[in-house]
Amino acid sequence: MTESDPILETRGLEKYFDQNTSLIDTLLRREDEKVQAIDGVSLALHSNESQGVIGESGCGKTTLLKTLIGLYTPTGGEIRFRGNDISEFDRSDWKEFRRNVQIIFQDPFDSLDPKLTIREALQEPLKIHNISNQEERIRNVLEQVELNPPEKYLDRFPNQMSGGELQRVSIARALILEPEVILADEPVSMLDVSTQASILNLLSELTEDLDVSMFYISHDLSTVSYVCDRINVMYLGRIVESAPTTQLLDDPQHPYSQALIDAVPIPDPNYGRGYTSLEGDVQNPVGIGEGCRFRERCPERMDICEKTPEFIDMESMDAHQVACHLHYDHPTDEGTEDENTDEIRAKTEVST
Amino acid sequence: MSEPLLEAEDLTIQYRTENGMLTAVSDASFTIESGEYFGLVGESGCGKSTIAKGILGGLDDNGKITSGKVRYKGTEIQDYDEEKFNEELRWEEVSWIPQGSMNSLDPLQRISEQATMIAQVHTDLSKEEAVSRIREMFDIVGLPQERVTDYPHQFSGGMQQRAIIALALFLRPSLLIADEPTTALDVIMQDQVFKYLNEIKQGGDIGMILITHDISLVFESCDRMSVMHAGQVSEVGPVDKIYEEPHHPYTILLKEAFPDIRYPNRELGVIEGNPPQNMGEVDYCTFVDRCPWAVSECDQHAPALEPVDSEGSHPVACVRRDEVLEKYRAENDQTAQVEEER
Repeated sequence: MTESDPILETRGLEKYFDQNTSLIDTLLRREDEKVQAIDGVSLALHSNESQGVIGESGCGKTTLLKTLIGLYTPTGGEIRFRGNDISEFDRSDWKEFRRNVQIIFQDPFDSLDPKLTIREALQEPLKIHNISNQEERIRNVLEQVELNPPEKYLDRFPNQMSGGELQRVSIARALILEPEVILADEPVSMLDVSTQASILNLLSELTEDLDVSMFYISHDLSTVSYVCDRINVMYLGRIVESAPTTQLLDDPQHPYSQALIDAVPIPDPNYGRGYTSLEGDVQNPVGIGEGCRFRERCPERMDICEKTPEFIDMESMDAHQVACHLHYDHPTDEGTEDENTDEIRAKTEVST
Repeated sequence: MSEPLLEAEDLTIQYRTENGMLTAVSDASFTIESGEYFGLVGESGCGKSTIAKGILGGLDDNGKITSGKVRYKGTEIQDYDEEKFNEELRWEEVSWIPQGSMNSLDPLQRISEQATMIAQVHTDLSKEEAVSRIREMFDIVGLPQERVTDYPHQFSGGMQQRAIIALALFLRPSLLIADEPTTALDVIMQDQVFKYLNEIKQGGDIGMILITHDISLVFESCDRMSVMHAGQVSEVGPVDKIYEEPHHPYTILLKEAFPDIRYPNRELGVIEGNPPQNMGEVDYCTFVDRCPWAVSECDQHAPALEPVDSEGSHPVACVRRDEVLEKYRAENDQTAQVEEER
């Protein structure tokens, strides 16, 4: 593996779920329509990078996370860890994978065992992976997440701590095995503003200081932008745009990203943001077939949107990809193809 | 100016618990003029929802307004129980959109049936009049009129919330109390709801108390606001004044802690510690343990809400109300300089 290869990568990842089929459906041999929760997602996470995945509820971001960590088996595409396909993993590969890919859950009140002290909760992963000098590691990791002095917290139970402190323990538990990748699922949405800020600052420092990469999954664009270098916008199972954080916020290319950014309230009474013009709601991802997923709500809708847009690199922008028909040229039926496609055709002719 | 729409004066609300009396709201005072949108901001547990329930006579059995007054259009209502409140004020004068209210529609009844029922109990509108009025309201909140006969499950989350707002507005109340009306919604849905709430405001004859933890929603939608910390009102005033010149340490720090999508590279402010649980009488500033500018006096008595401006429109409850903003600005200029020098 070279430096530039991604640590964790998905290629055309798909996760479809079956729906409940009734007896009548079976008797009539009706074709079962699948729930297309993740539909061709390609992401690449490099070392020391933190990437956000944002989208509204129901867009498939949690399914993506569960598929990434191996809780769901993908129905198509592949996931590669350090270049190896995880579908070919054996037991010891999986153990190695699970040590190196850790997760931080949304609700710290639910994700820690109420009957284990903080010391026991942090010891458990160390025991499973047969790691020595446990006490020292536990103290170090608590200092890393700014629970000082560690002695004060070691023998407490989760119900004796506040939400912010518990989320720090969850982060410590994710860090204690010195993983290469952390997957964070809405890690601050249950916390109050004053504690949320300190957790965001902590996550942002950790990815900079330690050798760790992160996927940060959230619906809240304003918190994601504090932590992540790059943001992927997800809509109904597909990534519609991917770009460096500030570039995406300043100059979003996909109509959905624009709408999403415009809808975020700004803490300034003089700003005059204006309200969204989008109507309607996210569709159900059941049997939705082809085409741009956003077309039903899109203010820029065209006829071509019935076809699935390609995920293309924006020519004029650095490392900015978007899946929208507005941003690339299409050959027309009358044969008046534009220069771009002519060029491609010329090249193909030469090569054949 | 005429009589305020709603007035809370030194309102104290306590809950009886196993460990004694828990003071959820302590000497809270604020007024709301008619047609005004008023934001009530604070972290969870600061007493903002308790105030709403106190006003509505809807406190839990172990909760009680122990002192202070609530006046609605001049009438004292602090002693109204839920029944009396329902009879005299609910729906026609004051409507409540409770937290998590999307689940408060009856799943077995069409919206129009639910509206007719409310109308039957509270007014002498005929069934036809009630239905035509709810159709009007649907128009105002941006829902298609013909969908009044739909069942709640046929709406999406954002549309259900708008249907609830339509019901709340339906008997033309003067005051709408909305408790975290959009917390369960996605940001685009939230924006749609606020778009219509803002349009309703243009009519000018309905006031709103918006209870939320999200200071940016208040800055965007309200005229005046109040910030609460652990049962005490820290600061009251017009939103632009509180935005430009917050005088209470908690307001200053809360503003700093709030993410702003315009500046993703700014370091977020952090407020140390957690709000206290107040038992019995609160004779101290509840922010004292978290405040970087606290002095020994802060521990000795509860600070009174006193104005920092000459018109008296911006009262602040802090003994150092005249100096903390300057101190904060000076400290931050220094750190900015140090960073520059580096």
